[in-house]
Amino acid sequence: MSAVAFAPISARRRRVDKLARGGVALLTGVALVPLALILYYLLKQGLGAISVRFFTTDPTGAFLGDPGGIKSAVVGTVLMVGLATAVAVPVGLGVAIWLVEFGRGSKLAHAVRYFIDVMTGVPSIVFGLFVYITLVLAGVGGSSFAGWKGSTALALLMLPIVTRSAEVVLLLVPNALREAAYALGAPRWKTVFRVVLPTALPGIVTGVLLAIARAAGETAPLLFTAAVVNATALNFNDRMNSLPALIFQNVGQAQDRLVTIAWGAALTLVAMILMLTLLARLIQRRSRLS
Amino acid sequence: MSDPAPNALRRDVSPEPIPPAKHQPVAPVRPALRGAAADATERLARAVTVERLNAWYGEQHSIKDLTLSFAPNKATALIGPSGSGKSTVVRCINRMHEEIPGARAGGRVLIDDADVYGPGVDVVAVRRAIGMVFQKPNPFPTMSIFDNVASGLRLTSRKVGHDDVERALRGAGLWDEVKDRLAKPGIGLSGGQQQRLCIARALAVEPDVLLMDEPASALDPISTLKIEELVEELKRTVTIVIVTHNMQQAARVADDTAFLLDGELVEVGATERIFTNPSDSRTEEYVTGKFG
Repeated sequence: MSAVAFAPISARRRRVDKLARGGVALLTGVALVPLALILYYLLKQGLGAISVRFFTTDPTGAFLGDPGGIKSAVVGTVLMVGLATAVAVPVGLGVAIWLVEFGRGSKLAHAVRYFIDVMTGVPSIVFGLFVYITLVLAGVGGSSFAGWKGSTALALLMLPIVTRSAEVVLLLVPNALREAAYALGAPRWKTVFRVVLPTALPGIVTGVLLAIARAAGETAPLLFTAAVVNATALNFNDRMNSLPALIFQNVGQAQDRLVTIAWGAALTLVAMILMLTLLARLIQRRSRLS
Repeated sequence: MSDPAPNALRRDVSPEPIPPAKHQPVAPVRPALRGAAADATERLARAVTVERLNAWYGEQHSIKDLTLSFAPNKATALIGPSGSGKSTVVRCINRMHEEIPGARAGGRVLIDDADVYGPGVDVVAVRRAIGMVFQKPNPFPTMSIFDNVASGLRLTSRKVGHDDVERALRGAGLWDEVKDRLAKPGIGLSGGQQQRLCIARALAVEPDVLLMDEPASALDPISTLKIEELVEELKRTVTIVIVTHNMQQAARVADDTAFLLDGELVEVGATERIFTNPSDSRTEEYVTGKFG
């Protein structure tokens, strides 16, 4: 018997293949268009506003004349998001560790997971409203609007994001590693801290960054918790400005200089989040090499 | 280490053989073994005795009234078809069985004369005295080779020196291959090296018993051979219980062999006798390849 010749790829399959490849390439392009446009407009409209003075002066609030810079908003955003992160990350991580390592399969764990899912879906303005009613109107701490109340709203918003993402990553840690640690005589908590968490760390950091980026860009929960002010505040019991709130306030003004400030602030916000992401990547890479 | 349980499971440090009946709690760490004397190649390990062990996975009764003993400084192989309970027996010895949700065990497992299932015994203390090597190599991915070996001591709050790590790596026959790259990640090693790394990790805590659950089943023939040669070496300091589905392996490495079927012990004896002159017809059918 002579060798059987293999048939060449049929013309039809070749056509279908080309069509499919072209299709996904096109869709990728479509998805990239708005992204590129956003970045382009941000740079085009915002770069003009950027100067050293832009970051070193507070907004003046003047409709005519010198509008000032965005110092108070940058400081406010960093402080409020920082405080919210400091609260939400340990708590969220704790919940995730409990869900995966200790409460796995229990009724309480199911209930907790369900409530976290519900919380993830709650619109951010609802968190703002909640804080407004419970903390602002009630004048807790002797203030009405205050930075820490804004942080509270942001922390509530971040909590389910941190928990859910950390839980998913912790579940991905192979059970073989936990068994290896237990078999060595490691107690549970040490297994969690020395084996499970380090293994899951890159994923946890990604989740935390996602939550920070989300919180840093939120306007609604801050508008009626921390308010919009011009002066830089370092006291958490004072009203605090923030980048999203400043953008919200300025972009609606019938005054080009104020709109430009808003674009500059938007560019600043994006750049800050980008730098944070890059920093985290850098730290991650370094730690993996050691 | 304030509670008495860990001490009860620790073997006496003295190089002289201790009479097994008179078991005294001793200092928590065996100082003699950490110093120069640790290079002594022989060490009396402890015997393991399983008495009327029963184990369940939920409703499934997988080990039925098993009684079996493992001689000190010997390698005992557990053979039997899939689902016969070999791995479960091993996991009951260091109480890893109960880590599986819904799993439980009853009966007695004696390390010399300390009951692993005794009232108030700390499982953590049990596992510090009994090392375990798993089917698939599972080094900690975030740790270097050095840290992997050191992990057992660090995870149990003990200090680790370079000497401890070197000794364990030498014990696992891996030292020469990794001595120049101790700071490199453990998962960068080949499968066989990873498994020997895991053996070194288990040895570093200086256990009396080493449980090996099909330690070579995920490895190539050459790596398998190295592990088998290692078992021969390790017997000088530990008691080895090795689960295998490979009968040639059992014949090569084990002094004694126990044949399990459906969670019950069919037969146990000197390996040579089990393979050449078994007294039970089921053992004969299994070792000659008629089933399983």
